[in-house]
Amino acid sequence: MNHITKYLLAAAFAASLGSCKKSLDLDIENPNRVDESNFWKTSTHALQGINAVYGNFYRNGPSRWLPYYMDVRSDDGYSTSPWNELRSISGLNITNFSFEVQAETWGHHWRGVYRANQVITNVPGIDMDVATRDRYVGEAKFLRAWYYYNLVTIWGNIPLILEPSQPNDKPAQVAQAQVWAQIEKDLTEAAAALPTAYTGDEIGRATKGSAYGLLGRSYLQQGKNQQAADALVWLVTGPGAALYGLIPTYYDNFRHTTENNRESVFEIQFKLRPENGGDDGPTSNVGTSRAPFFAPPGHGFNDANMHRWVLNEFHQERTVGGQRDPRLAVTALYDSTDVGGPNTTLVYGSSFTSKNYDAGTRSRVWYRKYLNDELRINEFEVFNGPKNFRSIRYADVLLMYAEALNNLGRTIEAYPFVDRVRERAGLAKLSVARPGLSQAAFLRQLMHERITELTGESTRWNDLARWGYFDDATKLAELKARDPEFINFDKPGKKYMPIPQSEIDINPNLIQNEAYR
Amino acid sequence: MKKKKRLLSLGFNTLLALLLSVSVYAQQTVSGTLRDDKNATVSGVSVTVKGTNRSTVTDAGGRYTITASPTDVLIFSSVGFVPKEVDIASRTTIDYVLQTNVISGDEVVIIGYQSVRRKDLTGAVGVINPATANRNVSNTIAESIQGLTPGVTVRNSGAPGGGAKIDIRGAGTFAGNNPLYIIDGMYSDATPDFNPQDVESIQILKDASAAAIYGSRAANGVIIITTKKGRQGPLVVNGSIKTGIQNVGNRYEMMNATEYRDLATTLYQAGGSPVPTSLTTQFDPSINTDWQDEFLRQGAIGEYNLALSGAIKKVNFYISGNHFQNKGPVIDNSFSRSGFRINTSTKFSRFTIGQNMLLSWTKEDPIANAGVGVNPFVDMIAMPPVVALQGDRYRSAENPEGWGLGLNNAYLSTLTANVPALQRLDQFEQENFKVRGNAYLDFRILEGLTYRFNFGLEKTLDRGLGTRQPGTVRQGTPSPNNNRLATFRSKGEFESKLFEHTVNYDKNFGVHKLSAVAGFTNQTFNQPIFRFTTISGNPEVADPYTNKWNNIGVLGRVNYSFEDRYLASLTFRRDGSSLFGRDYRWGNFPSASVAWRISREKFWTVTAINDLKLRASYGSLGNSEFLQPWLYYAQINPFPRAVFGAAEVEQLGATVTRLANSDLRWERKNTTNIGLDAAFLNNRFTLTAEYFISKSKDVLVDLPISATTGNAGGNPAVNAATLQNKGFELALGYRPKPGRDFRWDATLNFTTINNEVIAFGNETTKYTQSGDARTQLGRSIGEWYVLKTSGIFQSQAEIDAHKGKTGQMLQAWSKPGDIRYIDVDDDGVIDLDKDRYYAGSPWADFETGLQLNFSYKSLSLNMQWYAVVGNELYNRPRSTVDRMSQNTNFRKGATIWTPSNLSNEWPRAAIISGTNTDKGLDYNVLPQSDRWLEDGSYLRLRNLEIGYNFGKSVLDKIGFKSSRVFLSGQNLLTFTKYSGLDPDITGVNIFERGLDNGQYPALRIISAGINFGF
Repeated sequence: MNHITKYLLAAAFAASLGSCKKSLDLDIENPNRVDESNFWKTSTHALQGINAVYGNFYRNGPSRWLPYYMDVRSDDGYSTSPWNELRSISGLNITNFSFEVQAETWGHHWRGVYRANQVITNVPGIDMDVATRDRYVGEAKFLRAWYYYNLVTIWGNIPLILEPSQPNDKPAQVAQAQVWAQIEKDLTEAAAALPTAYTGDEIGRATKGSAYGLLGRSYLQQGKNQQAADALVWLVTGPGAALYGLIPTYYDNFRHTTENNRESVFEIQFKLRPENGGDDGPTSNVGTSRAPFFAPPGHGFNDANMHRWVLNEFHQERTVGGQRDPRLAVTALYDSTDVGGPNTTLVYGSSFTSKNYDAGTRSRVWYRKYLNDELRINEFEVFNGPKNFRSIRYADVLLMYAEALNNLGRTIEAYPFVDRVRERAGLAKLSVARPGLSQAAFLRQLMHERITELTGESTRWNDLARWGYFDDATKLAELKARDPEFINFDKPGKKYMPIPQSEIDINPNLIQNEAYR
Repeated sequence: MKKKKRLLSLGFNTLLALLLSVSVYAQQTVSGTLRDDKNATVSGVSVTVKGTNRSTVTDAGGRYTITASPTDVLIFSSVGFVPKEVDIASRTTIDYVLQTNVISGDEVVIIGYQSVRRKDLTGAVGVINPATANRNVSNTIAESIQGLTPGVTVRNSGAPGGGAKIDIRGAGTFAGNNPLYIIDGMYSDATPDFNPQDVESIQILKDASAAAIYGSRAANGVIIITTKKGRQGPLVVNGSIKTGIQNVGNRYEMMNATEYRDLATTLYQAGGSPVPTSLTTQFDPSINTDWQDEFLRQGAIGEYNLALSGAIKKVNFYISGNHFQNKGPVIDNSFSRSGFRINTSTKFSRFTIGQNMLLSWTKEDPIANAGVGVNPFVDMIAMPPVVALQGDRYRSAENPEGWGLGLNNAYLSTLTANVPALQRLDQFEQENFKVRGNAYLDFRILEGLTYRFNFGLEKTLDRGLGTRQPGTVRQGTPSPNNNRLATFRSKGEFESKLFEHTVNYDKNFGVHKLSAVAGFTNQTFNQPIFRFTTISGNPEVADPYTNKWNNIGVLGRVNYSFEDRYLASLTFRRDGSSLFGRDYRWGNFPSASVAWRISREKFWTVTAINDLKLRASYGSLGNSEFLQPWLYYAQINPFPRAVFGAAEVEQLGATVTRLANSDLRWERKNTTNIGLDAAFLNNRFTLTAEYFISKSKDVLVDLPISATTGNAGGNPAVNAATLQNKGFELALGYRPKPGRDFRWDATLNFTTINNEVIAFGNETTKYTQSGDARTQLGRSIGEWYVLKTSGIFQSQAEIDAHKGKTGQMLQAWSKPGDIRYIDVDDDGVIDLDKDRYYAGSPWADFETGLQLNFSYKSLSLNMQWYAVVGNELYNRPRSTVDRMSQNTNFRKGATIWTPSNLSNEWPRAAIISGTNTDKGLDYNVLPQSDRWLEDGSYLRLRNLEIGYNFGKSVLDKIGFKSSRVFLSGQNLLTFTKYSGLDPDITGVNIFERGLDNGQYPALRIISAGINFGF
């Protein structure tokens, strides 16, 4: 031992006196990560930067919780979740403004904004192919607008952040019009910079059509009907008409195997891989965890249900062949998703009857779109689901365009676009079924068409907002009749969600929305 | 010989075989008689050969016989007497008169790079007797010293291989608040790989002056541990065997199946919900599962030690082997440790070289708690007894083994997890191999002037291996990894190297005594970590990450004393750390202390006070514990992915996800300490009192930043707070004049600390919230911030009368039987955020420890008592089963309020399967209310040990030189009002340190053992 000690000491002593530079160096290179100051230098950095903005879609805010705000909160949904706070979103009686779902939905949207801002600020300075560079910046602007559209419609009064953040930033809110103006500007610039289509392994990025689609939606939401029509026309009758169309089978819009088809104007790309970690790490999720929260007992948490009145909308008309509207079985999972009833209706591969649900559960209806019920036979839902979310579908574009035209008093011109949507579902043309509708009646009809075509696709809340349902007592009564949760809609300000209290505690420049003060 | 054989069969024959191969040195027999100052013989005095563990005890006539070499030194020690060292000097008979005066202050205390006589201390240093600490079966040194010294708060978790939380003088930082451990001169940390039997001394440096030599590493205090050394002389062999049983000492009393059925049926009916058929038509009286029995078991511990020490030629050595085995009190939960130590040293001319080395191997099988909604110590009480552990009824594709769980159907619905099943499905084992030690060279330059080179090394290899069998254990939670078998593998290394050069100077000039040290220290750290995940044959996903950081320090200290009357010490340390940005790396940490021994003054004539010393110190310490390497700049996260195309190609992304503050700098803790040491009445009473104020500035914390920044992956670290701890510590000792056969002594310590947040964040941040605890400016860290309840409405009239300031009803939605909430902010509305109040602190008002030692002839009795008073705990397990809004089991005696069953404790409750429109029911189960807080005070018999020293006549027959048997009980008695398993709560983090989140409770251990030497 003694000798060993001696040699060890001699070696250590030499090390400490001689080549000790390394151990005395307080500047240690990080072998794991690049310093920000060494990034944003090359075209690879630019590509990685824009990809990271897309990567934010996989987080819970945009992928899991958004439907609670856009669908379940509206009059077509309700929740019986044992999680009181989650239930309070659709119940319109939220008391904990900062709970996980609020914090994630708010926070993850701002993460998207931050990542887009990094690209928009840093990429223009990179020495690289100009066309590619402009395209990346265009994609970032589209994505920033996508996040701001949700932020401004969910929370109403928000800050407008256009530069990469610093830890101490405490931005104040701006007028809603200013946010909308930025959305319009970003999308207009994106539309100019983006290509009409991609090929191969690039499919799924934002296109010119995506930008026009979201721009049209944004104008329409503000009641700027002419501008909405001007934006959407590129898709409907302009150059985009050759690229887009309705696919024959409605169900294919909600299947994994028929993604990125002609009907897809902007689609969020999900993939099932075995790992499904939370934040951005090596085992991060690139799928969506939406389905387990919507799935019925035994396959998910049953945290959201659809009101039965929605079913009646489908029963108003039969197809020209005398059948039930085929979109019903795609939209709703309930004891008669199959016309044969509970014995032939399959719930994740087994009959509804075999589930032995209690009486209350037996009467429920679940949103079926984006469930993986055809993939998870007798198994629980997945948290890393592969089904792409069709954020903007061509059928929606057609109906929005028709709505813009109708609002402009061009009702007759609007008919053919509704007809296209109805015909795909097997229904008679509207020009045959209900010709000569007045402007108001046509809008009424459009409301019905949007329910049957788009329920469960996160358009409903903003549809109601746009149609003035939250600002009119009569219309509000209609909502209450359809969805008792609207009893809690006691102030017009309830059309916006409360800003998480934790945010207001940190940032005194933020003012809580009026209904929650 | 028969007796000897019986002992051999105890299981250490192999150890003996090892011994027989070691040659034994020439030695002589020394004997004598020990008397007290009244000339009475004293029995039970231990006689030890210095530097060895060889010892014997005097018999009833005060006589002893021991084998030693002619040059050895004998130590006589016993409760109540001054330990005395006597040179044998070739004598064979040594009689001695023991002095009952217990205070000498001559023992040496190691204060870092130097040692001083205890009586020369000018700072606050706690010294712990390892023998007392070792009475406890402990995973770590920290755990073993609970209640033994003032100013040191230890909170235990009982998990096998688990660590304790230790706070030295409160929390002055928001990081782990872990003290620095100096083990034989090597900077280290608390790990369960340490063999407590190897410990020779434990010193705790508490104030800035004592710890300043460790500068920026010492803000949380320093624990200096030295291990045993060999000395010249004959071979000494010491061994011990300890074995015992271990239990969760307390259990919740839960309902049986019939009792549960009755209450659950009432609850479902009250909620207008269908009663599950498992309670009605399909109730099966043969199922009555006691989930605590299924999850818990009787644990066992076994500890085996053998140490050899002595010298071979000029090389002194101490070699020890140790094995500790702990079968945990939870199924499939265990820990084991094997350790081997070699300490050697040798002198030649002006050089001394030596080394200390520990090789250790630990293996831990922790309890599984992975998965949504799983909390083992909550689930084990919450699972209804009508659920079978396993059965065909539960079998499905997602639950192939049919573990009992809620089925979310008409038969049974419950969200409680089957944790005994999880223990079986989720297998994970962690192995850890460690080498830790140091080697040093001393060179005597001149008399009193010595140079030392010290090289320290710590290297750890970790291996984790786990599998997760497919299968869900909880209703509504999918079988993880998409119901496929998954394997996990992790590999980690930790390497730290220490290089130090120091020069010590020590000289007396008449009445002036001077000692000084100056030096340079440099430590490097390298920590590569790898994790691999494989799910059913897919390729492994690797996740490598390496931490590296360096520290450099220059240090110096001068101690001066004049006639032992005036003492002063000045310390300076300058530290650099790679954890900070270039402009903020270096910090200076000075301290000064003085002491005045008044009793040495000529004017001092108070004979009742034998010794009186006043001390004062002020100093500054640094801290960077909060930081990981490279946090001072924003890093590019390389992991974002974007999927594109029909082939679902994952394209790489990279961006900043976590923001960073570039101006991170040292936390700085300034401490003022005033102390007093006194001895009274022939030194029978001793007293040490300390008062301190410490203020930590620029405390690093990851204060929440606005989510509008888009920050992800953790809030950036920032120097954002000022914390203050003020405290008073007292240590009292009493040693009555020893009797001939009966002797006893007592030491008592007392600590009170007041913790306050003095400044917090920037101008806008006033608090940070973590769960239901809030850390607010002007208050202690992590006080409970919850709604205020005030009993239960017994009638509609009481609800009507509960009005706000403007006269409107505050709880119009309530029904009789609902909880009354106070409108704390008096705005006329009960608001879940605004009507909270500070309902108690997780910090104790005071804590106190008492050690009592008795001996009668060869029998000894030792007790350690420990009390914590005035802290408030949140009982999460109770809240889970008392809510009664979910289908869980209930505590025995639980009931609900009904008009015919009035109660001021149990409100109205119901289980509602559909939409709940009854707001009163929701409010009765709010988690953020003071309904779940409980007084966490307790008084505990931490340890009780009865020992017996075998006399010489017995020892001769079995061939031992010394032997002692003992019976020990740990945590035998606890007096508390806390209704949970155990009030000794470590909390979930510093901001929620009073949260019992289903903590692994401190355990009851009953053990028996034998120590022997030959």
